[in-house]
Amino acid sequence: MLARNERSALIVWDPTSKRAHGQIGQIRDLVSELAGEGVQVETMMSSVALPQQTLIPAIREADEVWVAWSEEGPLTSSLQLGVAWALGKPVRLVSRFAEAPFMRMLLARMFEETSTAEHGDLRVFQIDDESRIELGSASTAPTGTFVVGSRSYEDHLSGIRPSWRFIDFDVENTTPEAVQRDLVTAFDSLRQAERLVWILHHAPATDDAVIDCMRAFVAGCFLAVSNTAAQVLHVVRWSTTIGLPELESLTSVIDGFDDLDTVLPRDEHAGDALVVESIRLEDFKSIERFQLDFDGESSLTGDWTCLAGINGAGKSAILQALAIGLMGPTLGLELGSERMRSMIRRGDGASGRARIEIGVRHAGRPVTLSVRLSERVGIEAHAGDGGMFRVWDDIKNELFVSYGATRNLSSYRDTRYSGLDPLVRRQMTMFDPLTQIASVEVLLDGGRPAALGTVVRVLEAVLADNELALVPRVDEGQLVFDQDGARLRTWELPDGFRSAITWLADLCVTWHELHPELDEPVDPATLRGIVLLDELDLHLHPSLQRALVPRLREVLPGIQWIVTTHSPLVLSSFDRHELVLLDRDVEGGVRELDRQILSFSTDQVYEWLMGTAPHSAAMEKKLEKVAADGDATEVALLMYQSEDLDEDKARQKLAHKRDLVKKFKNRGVS
Amino acid sequence: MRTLRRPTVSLPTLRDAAGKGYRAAERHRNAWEESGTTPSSFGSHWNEPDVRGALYAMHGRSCAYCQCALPRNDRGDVEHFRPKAHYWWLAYRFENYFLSCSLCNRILKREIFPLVAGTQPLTYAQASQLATEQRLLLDPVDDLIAGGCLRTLWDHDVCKVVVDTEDAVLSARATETIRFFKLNTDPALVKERIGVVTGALDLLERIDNGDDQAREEVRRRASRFAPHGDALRQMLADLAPHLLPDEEQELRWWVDELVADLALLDQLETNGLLVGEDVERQRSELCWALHVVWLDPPVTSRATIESWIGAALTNTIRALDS
Repeated sequence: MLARNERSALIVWDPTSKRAHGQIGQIRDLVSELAGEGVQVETMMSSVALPQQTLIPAIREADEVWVAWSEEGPLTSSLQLGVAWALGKPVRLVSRFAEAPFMRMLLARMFEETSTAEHGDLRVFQIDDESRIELGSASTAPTGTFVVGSRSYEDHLSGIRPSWRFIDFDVENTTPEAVQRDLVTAFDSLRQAERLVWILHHAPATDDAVIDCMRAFVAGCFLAVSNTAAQVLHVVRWSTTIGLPELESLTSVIDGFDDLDTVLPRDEHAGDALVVESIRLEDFKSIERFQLDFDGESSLTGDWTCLAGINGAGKSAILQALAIGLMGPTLGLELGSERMRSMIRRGDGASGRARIEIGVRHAGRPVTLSVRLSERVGIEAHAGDGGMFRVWDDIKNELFVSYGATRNLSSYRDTRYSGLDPLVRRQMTMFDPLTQIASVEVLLDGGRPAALGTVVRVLEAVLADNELALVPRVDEGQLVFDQDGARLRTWELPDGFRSAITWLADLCVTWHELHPELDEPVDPATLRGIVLLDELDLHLHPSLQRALVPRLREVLPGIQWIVTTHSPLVLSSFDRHELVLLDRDVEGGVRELDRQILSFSTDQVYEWLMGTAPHSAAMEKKLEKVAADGDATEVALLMYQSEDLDEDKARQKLAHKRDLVKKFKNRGVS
Repeated sequence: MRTLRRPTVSLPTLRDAAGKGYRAAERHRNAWEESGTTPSSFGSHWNEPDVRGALYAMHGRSCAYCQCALPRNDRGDVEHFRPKAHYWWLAYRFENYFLSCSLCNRILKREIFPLVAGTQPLTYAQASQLATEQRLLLDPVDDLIAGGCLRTLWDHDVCKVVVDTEDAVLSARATETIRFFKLNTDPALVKERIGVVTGALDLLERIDNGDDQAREEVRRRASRFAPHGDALRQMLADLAPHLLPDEEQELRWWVDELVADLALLDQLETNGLLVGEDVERQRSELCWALHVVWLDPPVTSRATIESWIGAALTNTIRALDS
């Protein structure tokens, strides 16, 4: 409680920004010092993703506001700034030096004058009072719905909601005067707004993002100056996957927007799925340098790449790099900056930084996604092209899933990662070997009939004529398998089938999560997306090992598959242009395959491709005894047995050989 | 393992200023001389057709170490006797190459080169002392193997390979070589060797029963260019020395096989069964193999070899390195 006449300073910060946690204590100390004696310093968390009901009264109460700026979450900081500024509070922004360049750019664009003071490694920005612009006042009763968001959504929205009015900024405006004119126009409109839809764009730290932050600023101002309780700020997280529980809770917040998911366009570039075209790595995990183009022309159906090579060749590392690069730095950080740091290669000649560059085709255009892992920040965008942030946004609406080597399903629930972004959860088994797959709850508890229907279609094709006579079907909203009259749940399936069925089901469920408008099961051939799959052969029944890839080629032809395997049966399902044989002894890390192996026997694949002895170690042990002068009879007998010779015949054959040796030694050969 | 004779040739890839192997070696030397850095990766120029061809000419189609048959789709690895990771200056030297199966190369040998305990591998500065390096593996070219170090007991139940020398240094190498390449403990290898020996015994039985075709067949199998030929040569030496083929005969069979392979390749290509770069590569390797045999025949003369392969092919292979 504030004592009478005591001044208060409020520090607002974004709890979803991981860096803010580390510096909030330091900022608090600085504010206490600068605010002087008798000023009560409070801190308050708020985020664009959280309801704002508490933020506005708190700011209204405060005498001065300090925004703890983080370049990670510039939208939140901009919104907080907007609220404080519209309420006429003295507002300052404070940040670490290294964090400040984007804020500096934003302030320079919006205000004519700001002053800067340095305190240790913190920097404080203050908007000068002369720089304030007058907000217009509402002349009429509030009416209508206004949208603050990129013009690129206007076409779509105006088709569905012609009465909605759009407010946006001219991206070409770079002078404070022009921006302020836009702001005044915006406020004039917003004064009359009954409600506001703000299409929140995920804003990475680029120049384009300044516009996003200005929208957030305006949204904050709208919040602050809204003078009736009926006016609600609707925050629509444009780039978050639609149809998730998150959206449901959002929908419940937004009165009158029950048909929200029809308002949102699905996919700006429907039909143009994201495709991975190349990867380049430097100092990532054990890989010093690696480069690969996914452009092999295969004689077989589908878009497949299979990474092969001995253990330790870096197969899993390449998949992890792909997952990180495709998720991008913001989501990558959700995996933990420690995990990111641990992926930097150490040792001789290591640069201390890992680089991941992924070439993709996005909406028909080539884009290079580029991230860097470093000690300092864990992971950051680095020197890619401008389009990469859009890709990282859009991939949240794409089917992009990873399955690590220990993916599996049991009947327990693993909730450790339920707080992460869905896209991150979908890649989690690639990084944490003890994680359950993302859709585990659906597989345990049942889910949307349409999704399960699609699962059954895929599984029917993959399991056709399987040896265990498993027949998938949906029973009372749950995925079950009939087997000779018995009814099995997914986690009760035989080991050799459970893993593959689990990730295939997860794949389909994810597709339906991304497409909640689909009320009926879909033709699996319509699925588009990217699947990273480590050790395709894992836990796979031998009959499935032979059949799985050819069947997936047929049933899911729209997926880009990037897989690894140890199984010769799986390897010989690939065209040589689809196979990438990792070999550290070769320049560039990839051994060129100069022949097809589709006709190879498993032995030949083992020896020629995998460099592994295709026999058991048990026999080797017995031979070691013979080599050390043990009796050879037993081992010889084992050696003589084959597909053609049973034990009795082998015994006869050995005896015959001994007879011949004895005979010829006695009298020679003529 | 058997004794090999390395032909005296210089191959374009490793010799010419424009040769990929020569250029890589030169780059590595320069880097060493300028900054003392050693190469961390190597282009696999040892797979160029001239190099592989020369190795075929020298080996036949069997692994230098375990003598297993190299099936047609495992053409064999070009193996660095002294691993390139340490002996980087030997990465593009023909003298350091053998043809081996992928098992011996990739699983057993890898980058390992055992030396007598307490001795260090030679460095680039000591490159001239290679002959005196205290290695523990037999060198199929420098160490006399069959009848000198190793002996395959064809009459043993699992056809064991044993040390057969009094010389302490060679004996140590032979012992390590048997262990290192699992000559007696790799089940697939032992099984293959037993199969070759029992197959030959069956042929001897047929000869005994008056089958003359078997006589020719067992002699061919005892060729030093054939898989496990040494085991069979030992068997014939013990049981029927008159059947042992002489060196010229062995070379003739091998040359005939190379010529037949070339003809087969042509035939497959004509019928559209094989297309593309693979065909050219295989043809080039086979021609280089014949070229090297012709250039430095282990026995007989160039003229004899020309008479074996005919004028047309002679012209082709003579033109290879002109």
